[in-house]
Amino acid sequence: MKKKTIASVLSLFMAAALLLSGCGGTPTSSGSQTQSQGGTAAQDQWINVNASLPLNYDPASGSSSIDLSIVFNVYDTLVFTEIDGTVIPHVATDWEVSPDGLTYTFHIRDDITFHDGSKLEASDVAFSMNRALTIGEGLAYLWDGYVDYAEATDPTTVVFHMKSTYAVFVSTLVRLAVLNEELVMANVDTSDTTYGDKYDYGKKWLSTHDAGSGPYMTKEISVTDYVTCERFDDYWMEWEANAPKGFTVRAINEAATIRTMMSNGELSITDEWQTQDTLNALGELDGVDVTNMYTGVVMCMEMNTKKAPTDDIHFRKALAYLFDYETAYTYIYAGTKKAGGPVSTAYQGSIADELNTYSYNVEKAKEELAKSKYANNLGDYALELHYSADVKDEEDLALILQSAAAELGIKINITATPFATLIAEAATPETTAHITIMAPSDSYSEAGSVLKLHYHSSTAGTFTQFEWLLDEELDRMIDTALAESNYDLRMEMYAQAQKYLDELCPTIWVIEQPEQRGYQSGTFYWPEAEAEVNAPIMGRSLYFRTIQFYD
Amino acid sequence: MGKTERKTRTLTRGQARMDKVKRSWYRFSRNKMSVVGLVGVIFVVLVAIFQDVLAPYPEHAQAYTNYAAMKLAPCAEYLFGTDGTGRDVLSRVIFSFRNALIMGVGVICVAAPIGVVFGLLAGYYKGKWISTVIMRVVDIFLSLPSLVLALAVSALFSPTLFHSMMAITFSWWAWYARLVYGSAASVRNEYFVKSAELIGASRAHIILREILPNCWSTILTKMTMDMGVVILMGSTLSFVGLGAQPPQPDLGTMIADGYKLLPECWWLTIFPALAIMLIVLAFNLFGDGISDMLNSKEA
Amino acid sequence: MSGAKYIVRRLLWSLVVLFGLSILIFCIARIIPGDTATMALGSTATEEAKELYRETHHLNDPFIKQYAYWITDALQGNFGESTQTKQPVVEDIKTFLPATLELILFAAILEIVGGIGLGVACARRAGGVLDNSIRVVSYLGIATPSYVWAIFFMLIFCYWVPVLPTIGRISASVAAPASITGFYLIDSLLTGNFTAFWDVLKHLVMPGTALALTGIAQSARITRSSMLDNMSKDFVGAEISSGIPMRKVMWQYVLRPSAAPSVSIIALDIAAMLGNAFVVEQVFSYPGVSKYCLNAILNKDLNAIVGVVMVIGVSFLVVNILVDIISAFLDPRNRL
Repeated sequence: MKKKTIASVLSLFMAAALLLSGCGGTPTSSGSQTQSQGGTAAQDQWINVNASLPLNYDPASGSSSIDLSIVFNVYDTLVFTEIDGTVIPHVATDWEVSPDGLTYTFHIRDDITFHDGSKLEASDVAFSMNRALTIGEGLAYLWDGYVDYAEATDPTTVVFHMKSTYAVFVSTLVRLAVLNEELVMANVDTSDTTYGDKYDYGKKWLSTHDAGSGPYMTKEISVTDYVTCERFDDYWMEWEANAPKGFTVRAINEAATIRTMMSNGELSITDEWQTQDTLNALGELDGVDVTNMYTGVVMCMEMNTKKAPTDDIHFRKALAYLFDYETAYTYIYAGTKKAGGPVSTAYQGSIADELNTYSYNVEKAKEELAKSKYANNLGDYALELHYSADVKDEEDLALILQSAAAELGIKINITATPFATLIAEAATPETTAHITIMAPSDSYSEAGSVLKLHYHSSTAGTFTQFEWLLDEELDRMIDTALAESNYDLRMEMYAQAQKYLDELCPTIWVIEQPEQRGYQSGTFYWPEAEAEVNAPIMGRSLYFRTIQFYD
Repeated sequence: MGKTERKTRTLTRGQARMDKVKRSWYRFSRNKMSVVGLVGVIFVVLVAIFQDVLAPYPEHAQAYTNYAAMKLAPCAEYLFGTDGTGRDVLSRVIFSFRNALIMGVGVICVAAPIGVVFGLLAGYYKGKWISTVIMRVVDIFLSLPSLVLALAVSALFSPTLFHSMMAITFSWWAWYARLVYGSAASVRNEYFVKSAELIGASRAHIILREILPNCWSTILTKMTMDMGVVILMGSTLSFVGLGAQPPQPDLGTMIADGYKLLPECWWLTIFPALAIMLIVLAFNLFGDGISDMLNSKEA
Repeated sequence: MSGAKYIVRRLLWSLVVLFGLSILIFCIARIIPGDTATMALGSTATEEAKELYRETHHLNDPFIKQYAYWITDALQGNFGESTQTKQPVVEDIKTFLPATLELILFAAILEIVGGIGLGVACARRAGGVLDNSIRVVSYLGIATPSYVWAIFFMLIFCYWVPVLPTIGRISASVAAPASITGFYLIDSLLTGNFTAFWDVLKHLVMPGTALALTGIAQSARITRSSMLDNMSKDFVGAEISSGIPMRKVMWQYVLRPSAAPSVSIIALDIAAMLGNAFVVEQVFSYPGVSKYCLNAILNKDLNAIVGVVMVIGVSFLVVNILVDIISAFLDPRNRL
């Protein structure tokens, strides 16, 4: 009976295998077929990228790294940055600040045309800023509370009126995509009066169209599946002959597919969320390299300072000494480096290299624990540690801390939490977990941007701050630094704030996480990928215009 | 069913009981697969009880990391290999049995009583408005595949074993209500219910003492048959990330993590998958046997 | 006559049930913790922007009022906007539903043909190799979650013997057929695009089989036993002895009455596929409505959850009513 059964199962499986392989034919091959969305082969000079979609295509509301990358390629901005983060003129040729720091005047180029052929004028810049302020989504927080309004005084002059001084204002303008006012307003949805006489401010139309003047123009888009953009031949900057003719971003997330597509060249650059296992496999492919771009991201374990027992400074320090950093940067994020403090070395004004206070040291952890007011009743507390369910490698970080803490009698419960839930939890100190793993990303290249976004009281309750510091002294330090127009003084103030934070220890600064993407290094030259330190500006690394295909 | 006892009154109580057990065992074991199922269930329960003794590395089921030994293929030291954190897969599979059982038993022990109460009420008051209301609510709960409803409900809570049990229970009780409603409604018009009503027995007495005993075999059969289904559903919720959290070992979660490392680390997927198949198959076969035992007529 | 009346009554009750379902799901969606405005606009949105969103989406109104707004819109075919895709949920469903329906129909065909065909084969050689294999597979099938089948298939046919594509609905290198019905298989046939047809078919084989496998084995078992029952009936012996060819007897006099129980099992399976598709689509990253809904659940995208669940509820009810009608047609004993 038994033998018979086993034989039957085997024969059935074999039959099934034969059946299926018979009708299978060859595995999906590429290349020979011409496809609708640009080519795949290198001679097409086309860049194919995968990403997590849906896209938020309106520059006033997009905030994911792929949204922001596309903005850099489809729109122009007043200023731009070099790979290392240096701010350079772009649409603006030069600018002045009034002595009181409350008026910025920008003079702009007169040789730029939008994709529809109309001319880019100062009024378009003013419109874009006012629209971003009104809508208040995406990266508008950069200007909210600082910028009052913008106006064009003549076709090549735009003036920004400030509510308060804002020393880093020019750096933040790398985030202001210039929209074609006439085109946007011609396409508003008049049935929607959310914004009064501006109707929907063109939000609906812009979610599937572009109104830019950037090096690439939108050809086909489906926000959930893909977007294809092709070269804008009348772009105001020179085109190199071997620059990409266009790019396609597709929603592909499965490691297996990404590996296959990279090995047969169907994919040019991967997204930055691949696990270390996939990256290792990609690195072994011929003609494929994995980037190691340090773009200022620090992987943080953010401790809720308003909840027992992480409200105790010594308890927090004990945890910081308990974390095995070496395992993190050798096994989990292999080849990365330890973070020295709150601000990554990629930022101007970072003193992370000098600080580097916390390292794996169980003795010190015990000492700090003994000093904490919870030393005698550790058993009463179970710490909640939440991490983003989409990022598998973070689970390992959680496990490292959990097992080390268990040895000192500290109980940690780990929960993989969907990103949306993390955001919801951040709303109040009570709902925020004791520890949340997060890697906040930033928008302009000075240390002040991290300090403000991650530690200022105004950001408590958002996904950029789970610490709930609400520290007035620190707020004052950050605010005065951001208002200080003297560069050296400002840097000095940033340093003070970082030392203050390091002593407060609200966060375990785990590692500096490089942006790691697989790319076809044998096919094209990608300047950003070759640079060790990149501008800490999310989305900036995927700038296609300066990529050069090899002959 | 209960009426057959009278015939055996002449025997002593002990003999009668022995006799009954023997007959039940005969009905159960007529199908050899049921016996296999019983052995399987006993095995699963024993493993769940003695997990600490059986697992070669019990500490690997708790907070433990050993990255130096990660992703080792099955070998003498680690029979099922190790996972991406360097933990022994065999130990984690063994430890996950208890959660699977808790999931099955927990859901059924909560869903069944709730469903039975509503089913009895609806069956007893058949034709009255209360019955209509109950059965329409039941219809609403059954108008979606249970898995879909459980998924939607589990979005309400943070993901834990307990919460996914609640979510499944929420979508499961209605099946019992419908089942019991059917048998209660048919028993309701039997002569012994009518006569109990005539002699003025209370409603509670009629429902609990007269109607319920006649639904027992249906309920018990459904309960044993459901064990496997509920465990499967629980593993599916864990598979999509709505179940037990790390480092708690859970078969669905282990498969979800493991299949991303296919084909190299096949052991991370295959062994937990086989374990689920073992548990569920054992309960299904056992359930078949119970159903034969309770429902077959005198041989 | 009474049949028609019955169907009308069933349909009316179904409307009541759908109304109840909408309340249930709406309740669930609204008590999901978290601020909808924050999720829709991103956590960096300014407070004014969030307040504006709450105002325009009636989120500050009492629950009953919110439901009233929602049901009024829903009756006009408007389920609101998805916070994930920023598109109307109805548009998203239109985009993703055909893929899921195509997958489920494909699985259903596999199950009907495979289940009944294998059942007949088993009945003809009861106790043979095939019969025993089917028995084992049916036991294993019920004990194995469909995502495990999906993963096993993936391991075998994508990695060990790479003959089938791993994920998706169509290869990136193949242009999708022009949309006529939304079903790629039909569209590609209509437009004569056989490359696409072949590619789509290959993409359907694994998820389709993973969904149908359990059902195939079970319906084969049921077909087999009811056929064996009917074959032992006297009239069949009489037919055979009267010289009617065996084949004809099997199909005409045995299979049709035997099919009724199989058909109801198959139909129930198809309804269950609506649930199982959630995980199978996830494993194969198949761009269907279930994957869309699962993402909505994980990201608390309220309008999308409510919209998709309502659509699934409607399909589920329709399938259940169809089951009753078909089984009444096949076997007059199950009069409606």
